[in-house]
Amino acid sequence: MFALLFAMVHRPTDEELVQRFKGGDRNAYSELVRRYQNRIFSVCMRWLKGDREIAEEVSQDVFLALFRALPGFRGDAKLSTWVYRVAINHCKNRQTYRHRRAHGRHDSIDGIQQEDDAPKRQLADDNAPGTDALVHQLEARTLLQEALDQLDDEQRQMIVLRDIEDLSYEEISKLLDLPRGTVKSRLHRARHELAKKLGRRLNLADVV
Amino acid sequence: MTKQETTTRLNDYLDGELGPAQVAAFEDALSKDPALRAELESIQAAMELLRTEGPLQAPTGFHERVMAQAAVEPMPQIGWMDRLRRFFRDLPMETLAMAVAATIVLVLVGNFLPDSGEPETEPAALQPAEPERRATAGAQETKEAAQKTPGAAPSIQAEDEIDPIREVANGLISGPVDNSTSDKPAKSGSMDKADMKGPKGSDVVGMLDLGTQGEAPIGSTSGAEPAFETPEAQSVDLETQLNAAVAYSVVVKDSSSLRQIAALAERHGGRAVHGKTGATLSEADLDGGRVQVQVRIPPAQLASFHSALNSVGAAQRTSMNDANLYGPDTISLNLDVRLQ
Repeated sequence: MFALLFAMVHRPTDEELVQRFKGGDRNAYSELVRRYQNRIFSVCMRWLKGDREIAEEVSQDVFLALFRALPGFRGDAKLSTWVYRVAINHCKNRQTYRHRRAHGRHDSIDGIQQEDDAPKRQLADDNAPGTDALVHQLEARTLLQEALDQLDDEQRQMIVLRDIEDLSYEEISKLLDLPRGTVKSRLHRARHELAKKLGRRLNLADVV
Repeated sequence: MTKQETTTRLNDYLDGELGPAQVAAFEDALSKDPALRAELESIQAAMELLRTEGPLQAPTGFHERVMAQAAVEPMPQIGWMDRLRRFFRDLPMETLAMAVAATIVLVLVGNFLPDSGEPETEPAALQPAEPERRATAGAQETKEAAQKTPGAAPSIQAEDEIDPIREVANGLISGPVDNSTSDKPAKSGSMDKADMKGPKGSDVVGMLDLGTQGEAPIGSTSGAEPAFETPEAQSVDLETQLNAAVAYSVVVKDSSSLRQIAALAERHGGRAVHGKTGATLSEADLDGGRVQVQVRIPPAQLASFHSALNSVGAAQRTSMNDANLYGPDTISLNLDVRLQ
């Protein structure tokens, strides 16, 4: 009874799951997928400019790569850092492939660039008649994704890792093999740039 | 404050990395700079939007699709190359390098040092000539007896052979020799060079253990140097000293003991003479209460003579010179005979 209760309450750490997987426990891998699927999919979505289909495909590739590589995980860094690194590498590869094959989606970028002089859009008012929170959220998400897509890869990865995935400077520093100061300065520039892009697209007073 | 500094300060402010004093200073700057405040607000708005957005949800059925892909994959194993790489990676390389360096240094130093693992052999010029004569049958018998003597301490050179002469000289054999106990066939009644070899074929010369009765320490008498130590022995004729293989101190009751010693020497195929003059012994030699006697006997007779000497008087071996144990014909014993 106590063991059952303990098993229900105890949440195995990433390291415990990795050890169990190394011992041949596929359920441990299943738990790891469940634990990281949203974060990895999210990173892929942001990185690959909102292409849901491609993002899912790349996310699956990431987890398959993890399955094959987990026995070699040394535990020198946190598993999350390692998983993010694998995801970022896959995203970069896919992006390079897409650029080379000219299959990248440039519509939104082109569209936004063309709309620079367009009048600012305003997020739908939650309290306005005929609107609801879902519409507001979808619209904000679209605007955010469009703004992110306009950033260069370096700036986008900083925003994604720090302000969306909420990784610390130290984690990002390890993940990208960059000094902490470099991470900070790049993030500063990326935030500034994102704010500029977003400011063109919406009335910030609606957000703040 | 430069533009770069302002941007850095602004982001530190957003990240909450400023101290209270810095926050106060920055907020003061904000109140005085509308452009800076506008920039802050735009970034805050963007970050707020990012945070409310948060991580996206994976599509429905994503987990199942991933697991279906993994299901057809064999369980990954770490290859032997990976294991090997990991083994070397996990090794404390600094410690390993130091150990290797230390080993190399030891090997190099060892090549320049004399080999101290085995006794050093004498230069050929200092070594006594190997016996050219074959010992008599008694030598072999004595050797066998030495091997069979109960309670005999193991000799440092007796891996497969025991040198009777040295055993006797060391005082390891004190009783009468019992040839009947030998189960080793005599080698045609004689002793050859092989009998006088130590382990690994080295000459026994220089390997003799003198540390049985408080004499010189082991190995201290290697070579041709005489090892006489007692003050009495120092008065003995130098040539006698040099030639003597073994020196005894013999305390006798009366001067007739000199005749017994002479007879004893003759019985063992040798001769006893005055140590200084070389003249035949006479009882008058002990008028002064002390005389040096030189006894020359065949080496093979040493054991027997050693045992018999105690019948003459209280004999005690005082020193031994292993270099002289293997004379070509006879060995010389120096007896410091004193009246009781």
